[in-house]
Amino acid sequence: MATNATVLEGRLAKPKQSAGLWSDAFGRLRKNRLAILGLVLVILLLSAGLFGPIVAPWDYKVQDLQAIFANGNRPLPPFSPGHLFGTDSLGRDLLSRMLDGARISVTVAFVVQIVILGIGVPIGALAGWFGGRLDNALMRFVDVIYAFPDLLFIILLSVAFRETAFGQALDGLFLVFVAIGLVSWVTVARLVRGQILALKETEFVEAARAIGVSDRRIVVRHLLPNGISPIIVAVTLGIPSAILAEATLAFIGVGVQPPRASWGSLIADGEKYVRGDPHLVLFPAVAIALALIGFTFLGDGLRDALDPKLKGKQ
Amino acid sequence: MQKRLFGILASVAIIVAACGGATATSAPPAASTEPGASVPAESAPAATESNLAADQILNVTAQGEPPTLDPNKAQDSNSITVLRGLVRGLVYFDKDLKVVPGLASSWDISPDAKTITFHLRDAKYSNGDPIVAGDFLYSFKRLIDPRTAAPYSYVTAEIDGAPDLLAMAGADPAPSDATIQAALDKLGLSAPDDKTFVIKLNTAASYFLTALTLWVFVPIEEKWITSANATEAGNFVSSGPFVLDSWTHNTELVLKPNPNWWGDVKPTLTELHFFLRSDPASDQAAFEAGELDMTQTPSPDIQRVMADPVLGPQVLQVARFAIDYYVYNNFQDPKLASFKTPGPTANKDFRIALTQAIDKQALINATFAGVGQVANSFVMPGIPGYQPDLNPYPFDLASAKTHMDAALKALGKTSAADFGKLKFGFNTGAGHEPRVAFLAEAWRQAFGLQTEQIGSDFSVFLTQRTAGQYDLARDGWGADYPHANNQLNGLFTCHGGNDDSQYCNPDFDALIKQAAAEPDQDKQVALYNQAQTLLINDAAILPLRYGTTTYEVAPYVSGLISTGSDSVSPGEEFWETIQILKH
Amino acid sequence: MITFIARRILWIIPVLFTVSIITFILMHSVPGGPWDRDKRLPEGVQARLNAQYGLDQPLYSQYINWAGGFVQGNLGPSYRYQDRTVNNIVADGIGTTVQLGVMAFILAVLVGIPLGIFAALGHNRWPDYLSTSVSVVGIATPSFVLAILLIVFFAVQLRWFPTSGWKGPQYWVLPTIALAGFPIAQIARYTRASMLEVTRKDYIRTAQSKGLRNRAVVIRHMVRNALIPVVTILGPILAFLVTGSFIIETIFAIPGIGRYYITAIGTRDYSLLMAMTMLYAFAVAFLNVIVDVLYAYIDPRIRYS
Repeated sequence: MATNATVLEGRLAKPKQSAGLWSDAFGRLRKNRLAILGLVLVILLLSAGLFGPIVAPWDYKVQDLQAIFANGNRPLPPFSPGHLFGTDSLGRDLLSRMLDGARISVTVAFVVQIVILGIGVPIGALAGWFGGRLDNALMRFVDVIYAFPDLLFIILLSVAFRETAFGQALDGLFLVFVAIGLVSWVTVARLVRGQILALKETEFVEAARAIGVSDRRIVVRHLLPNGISPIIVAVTLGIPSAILAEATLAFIGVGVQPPRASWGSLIADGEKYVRGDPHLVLFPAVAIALALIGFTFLGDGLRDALDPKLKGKQ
Repeated sequence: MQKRLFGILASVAIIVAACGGATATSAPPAASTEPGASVPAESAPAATESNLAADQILNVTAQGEPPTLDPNKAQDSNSITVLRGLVRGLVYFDKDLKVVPGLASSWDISPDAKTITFHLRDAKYSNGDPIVAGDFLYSFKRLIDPRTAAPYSYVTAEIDGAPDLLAMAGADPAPSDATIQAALDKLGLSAPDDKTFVIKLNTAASYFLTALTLWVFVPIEEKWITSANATEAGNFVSSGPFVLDSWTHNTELVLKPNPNWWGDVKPTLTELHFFLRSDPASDQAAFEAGELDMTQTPSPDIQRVMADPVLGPQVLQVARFAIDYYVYNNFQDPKLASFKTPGPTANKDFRIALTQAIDKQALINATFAGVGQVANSFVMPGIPGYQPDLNPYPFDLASAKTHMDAALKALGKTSAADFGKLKFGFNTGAGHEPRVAFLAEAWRQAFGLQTEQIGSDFSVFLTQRTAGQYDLARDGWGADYPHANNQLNGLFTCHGGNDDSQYCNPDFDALIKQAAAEPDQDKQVALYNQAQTLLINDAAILPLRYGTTTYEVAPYVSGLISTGSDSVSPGEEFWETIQILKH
Repeated sequence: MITFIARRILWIIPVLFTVSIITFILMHSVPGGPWDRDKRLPEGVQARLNAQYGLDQPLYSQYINWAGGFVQGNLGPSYRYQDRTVNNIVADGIGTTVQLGVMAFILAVLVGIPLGIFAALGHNRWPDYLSTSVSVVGIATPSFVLAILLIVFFAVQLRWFPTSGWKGPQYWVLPTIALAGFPIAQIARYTRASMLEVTRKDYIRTAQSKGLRNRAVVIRHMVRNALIPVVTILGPILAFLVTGSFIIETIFAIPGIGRYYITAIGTRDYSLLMAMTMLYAFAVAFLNVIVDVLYAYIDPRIRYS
């Protein structure tokens, strides 16, 4: 019976799958120019995260005070000799600080998404598929998390755990992942639940059920891939959000602490100078925007590539 | 949900700036010279009948919602800037910060200098009721009464009998109402008739008259303050030049002239608008858009504003009774547990080394836009006891290294890096980050000393600093009244209320005690000087800068009387003298 | 359906209860208190204030006091604004905050959804790129930066709008735009994705292959179906806009209550913080119920048992 079901199921929705799926997807992805642009941007971002501090022209914490004094106690503007992106008010090279900060921002962005997906997708899927009591219980739990005062939670974390191994792990960044992840997964959970709720009444699911495909298999193999669009969007939106949220946390003493900076904290610090020295906000904001473009295009491309129905349509 | 976090960032900055950084200064003043000395804006021409604008409306900022307008309980600069227009007391000060008659037309001081008898003038509140001596009696007692829990109650400590009541505030078990009432009845305060108010002091405190210019010592009608919503617009009973016309919470507060104002200078302004916003950058924008007539320039904008052809000439810089400093943890307070494991800052040579490694003028240039005066000791210029020449540890890297070597030897280390990361605390969002980074980097370059820069929420920071959890921490002080006692006592005495440096030196305490009881002015100053010299020679703290605030004032604002006790706006002690010229 | 709605609304009570307990405990375990000042209050005064406000009692009895008051509609005194009660503060500002949030929400929906549809219909052509660029800028610009830029250009340079205040429609424009920036981008992205998803659905293809060339009809079908997942995020977005306008309220000096959600933490204004948390929790929980109901309404395939 099981074998029959699998065979039938395969015919039903996706005639050729398994082995061919990923290579097909990659083939389609390669033909999508925007997706490739996105991929390039993401790779650039990752390289900045990995090698940034090595290629940086200056040490991120070195202060070129004499240059500042010579400039009338003002930050150096972009394209100053030796400082391509200019400096901050202490004469620290902005490009070098951004390259150093890339590592923090990139790590936060990725790990937080993993935490969010790791918690949000299973909970949303379970709630949506089984419905009833389980759905109620899980969704009420989600309600509580939603309504939860996250900043308070984070201030508490910052104080309570700063001195522990937990607080010191990864330069204090581990706390950031936990803090952002724990309060952020609910959006994804609700989204996934909504998608599953909508899809589980569709004909192909009924068909799959009729032929006895297991629940788990229907959810994992059919519902999630079909409902993946909003999830991909959530992730691509979540990455810049996480980068900026990390700045918030740095600000109240969780995670990255001065003199190190992340892109988000550079924006937060630079905001005060937006009138006189807008480059301090502009460059980090553009960096985040580029990262966002990269993930968006790559995400869209991936979605198209993974969608079997679009096959041959490019 | 992700988004929620996302915005918090700025808001944290905003709150912290609102409740933090500011050293809650509210310095009333004495015979002083420097503070108030200002780099004037191109002064507006004198007002005459003919060049006054038709609209006499002044728009200023209060930098946030006043937490309370109850004069006895107010303590924040947002409240005080408004109260300066609404209430006046027995005495006030003039443009040179000399004490002059207010509601008291004259006063007699007894030969032992311990009894002051005030003779009140004929005056009425905004509601038409006469201002009588009994209202002062009520107000002063209410201020001292532990049940009021007034933050500024401690300024009454020189009144005979007040210390007993101040001590009752935290007594456990709480004293009964009868006990409190009995103590209140014994206070050295009396109103023999409607026109006479007598204060008996427990010491010949020469500065007490100055303290009486504070907003907390104003007359209060009992039937007013005990009524419902007393401090709301329409209910506020004013003894000052203006009345509270409207108060849209968190947005705008409007004062209008008090028809019963008893003072000689009648307000020319017909309306005084306070914007209640705690975002300095928006205030700056509002000034540039012409919506505000005066504002405080945010530090990151100072250079831009000064260089601006339009805004530059409108800048007004006012030296204030305030100091920015950093504390070393001296690990001397026996009450603290951290005493058991002192860090390197417990070593005097180490502290001297750190002090000598800092080029304070460079710090001011880089992080205060070059505004303000280098501080080497604590008592501020303009306050008797200021010691301009006290500077035992000037910027000198060679000497700093020698002291560091001595400290290393004494502590059995080979290099400063062996100390591990020193905990360097500060509160976030109030603009301290560049200073902290400057200091940390200077110490790293001079000695290879590592620091862990710990930025925290304001309350967390204060709690940790009080508990001696940091090796190094940000600090600041604004004078309540311009007397050395207010600068040294409680800040550096053994477990004093504000002893953030955990400094505890019995010799210092003895000198402070001796000075407070010294009736002769000159001898008293000499004693305070001795105490301060001890403190500075111990390198207990790192003084950085005496505060100067940069304001912008529109060219048509005339009659501004700016002093060292300005806080939110220049000339806020004398709203009634301001006029708007044609423009 | 009625039972379903009633049950969901009743569920809000335990949610509020749980949130209140967790918040209460967390709030009191964070260091510091409402009387923290740079210039420290005398310890006696702090002790007296604690006694006056019942902060010297054990935590559980403080909670019981608070909960007792809350049930009767008494939110307690404000520790920071000592002349005012929390009821007073909330009553004063809630209307403004809701107005601002709803205006921003309407703007976000009116701009975001068409932007998303426009992008999807021009998939991989210039409308798509334009919409994506707008979204990317909207997302990468934090609202506090957007707000100050709007002020500098439209209030300081052009003087079209006032920099701050809340006295009439001209005061509403800049804050509404600043607040709606991120949600516009967010809604546009979700709508686009969802539209593309629907484009591939069999019934649309069937319709198209059957020669149903009437684009309007097809689009109407598509939009209706595409908006289902979008509705999921509208609830949280509305809740965020109504309760999350703290920065915008501060920068534009708007007399709302949104700012207290954050400032109350900074000043340890416990009762105000509890009130804000309860309001937030209620708004989110309630809007979630509405979303679920809407869901059932617009998507007949969903059945509630």
